[in-house]
Amino acid sequence: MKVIACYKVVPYEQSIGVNADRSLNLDKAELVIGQYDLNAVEAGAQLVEKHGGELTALTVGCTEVENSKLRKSVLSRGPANCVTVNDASLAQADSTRTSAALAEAVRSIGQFDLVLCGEGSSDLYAQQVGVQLGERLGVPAVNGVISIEAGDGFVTVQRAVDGEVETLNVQLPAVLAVSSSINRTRVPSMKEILAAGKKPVQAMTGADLHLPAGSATSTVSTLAPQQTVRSCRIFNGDSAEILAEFAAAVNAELK
Amino acid sequence: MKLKKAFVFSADLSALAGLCSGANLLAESSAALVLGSKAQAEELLPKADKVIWLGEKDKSAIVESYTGAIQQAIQKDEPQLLLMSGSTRDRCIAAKLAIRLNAGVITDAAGLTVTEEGKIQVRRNVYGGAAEAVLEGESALTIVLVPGGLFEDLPAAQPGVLEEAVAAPEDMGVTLVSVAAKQEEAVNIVAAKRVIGVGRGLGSQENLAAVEALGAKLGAEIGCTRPIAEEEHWLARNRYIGVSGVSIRPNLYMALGVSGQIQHMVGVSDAKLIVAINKDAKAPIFQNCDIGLVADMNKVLPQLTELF
Repeated sequence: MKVIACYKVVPYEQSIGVNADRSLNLDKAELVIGQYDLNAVEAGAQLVEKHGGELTALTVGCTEVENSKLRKSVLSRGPANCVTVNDASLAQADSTRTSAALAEAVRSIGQFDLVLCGEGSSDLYAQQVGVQLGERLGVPAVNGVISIEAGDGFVTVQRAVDGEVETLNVQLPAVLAVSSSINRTRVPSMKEILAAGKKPVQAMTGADLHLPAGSATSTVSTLAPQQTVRSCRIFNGDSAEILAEFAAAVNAELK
Repeated sequence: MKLKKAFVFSADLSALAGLCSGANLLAESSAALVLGSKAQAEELLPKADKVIWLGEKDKSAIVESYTGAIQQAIQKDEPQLLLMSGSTRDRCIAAKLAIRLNAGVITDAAGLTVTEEGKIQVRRNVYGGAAEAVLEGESALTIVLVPGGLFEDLPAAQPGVLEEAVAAPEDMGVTLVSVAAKQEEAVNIVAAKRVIGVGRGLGSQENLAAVEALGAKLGAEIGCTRPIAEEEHWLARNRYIGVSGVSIRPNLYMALGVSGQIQHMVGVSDAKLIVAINKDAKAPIFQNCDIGLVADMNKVLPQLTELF
């Protein structure tokens, strides 16, 4: 089975700085692999471990895709190789732009059975890219996938949708957006991390692909939310007196 | 300024009336697309200027197979806005429509307005709740997915007309094998007046018993942070509070062993009273609560349960 798992390099939310005017400072933010994308990589790794074949990791974005630590990190989780597309026009790309770039990259990789995406990126979390990518590639695509069983020319998937679990046979090739409940992601061993450094990486730029111009949405502003001011009355300790004081303070507010 | 036309669709028929209110608010004319019984379509006539009945869903097909029918109705009338719910099916259909119709799509709208220049402007959380972005649609059609209850009830100016456009499902390369109800207990922490949230400080699943005892005493529902639902799987996903889970606005939110990361706190920012217990005095939640206790939750819970 030829499987491609897509991932996005994103700033770790907790490390994003906020300027005095509530605008964001991303300069010092630590980069990580989107947490939901790790479920897609894991699902792909499990499929090729069980059925044979090859898993390719794919990411599109700006210079952040070239981060060697994260490339190594993704390659230590099962993929045999990694494809990155770095193009300045993909900075802050919305879902339709990201899916267009991924579609071009998948076409350049060539034949595949399954493309896996996480349910959404950790930064924008639009939960759109997987199904959009399938539509662009002209193959079946569904989201909310919580299990995948390989069949002959199709996969049987369970899909959690709005209070129901439906079982579908999906013809291959296909694109699936997996839910975070599909698996627990692995913790790579030192051996896997060392081996990851030797796996092939194909680094492409937008010039290697046909990326469309323009965007279907634009960003007017991105600001940190205004904080609600809270009174922060803090009690410290677990003695009977402290607990009684704390409980009394809470009970007084609840009356 | 108002848009000329706004359409609404949802795989969840109960979401349609709320979506129509939004369409009536934002556009001069509204139309609802209904895949269901004719009676269900007629029920919406007071809510929209036009109800387009797509017929009843074929039992062997999934709603997503009707994307082509929605696409045709939109191509015929050319609305500037399509409102949908945030459900998994609606997200799937929106993604397919966005590509077929060259439309922009904005999900999880926290607010939606039309600017003086007639542009669709949407507020939504980004970076796990660390920031709020304002986005604008730049294409002829923008698809916006909104949570339930975003719009106040607003019926159409006059009762609508029913248009029949009965459609057949398209072949989307997918066969429906079976459908089962989700094996998940029904909880509604969104509606609860009091909610206890547990985080990593819980330590182990066995310690939940003491939390449940406190919940029973306070009359509170139990919710949790993302790691408890998605990494440890100690509680079901429908109890997960935060940016990619649910947002709540209870009278009391009691955070037990919750560090107070922004992705979680954004889901409780509208709580009236936030009470926190955490053994780490440096946990960010102590800067964002009304009453805090620096102590090991598992050690103090039995005693505290007696005191409330």
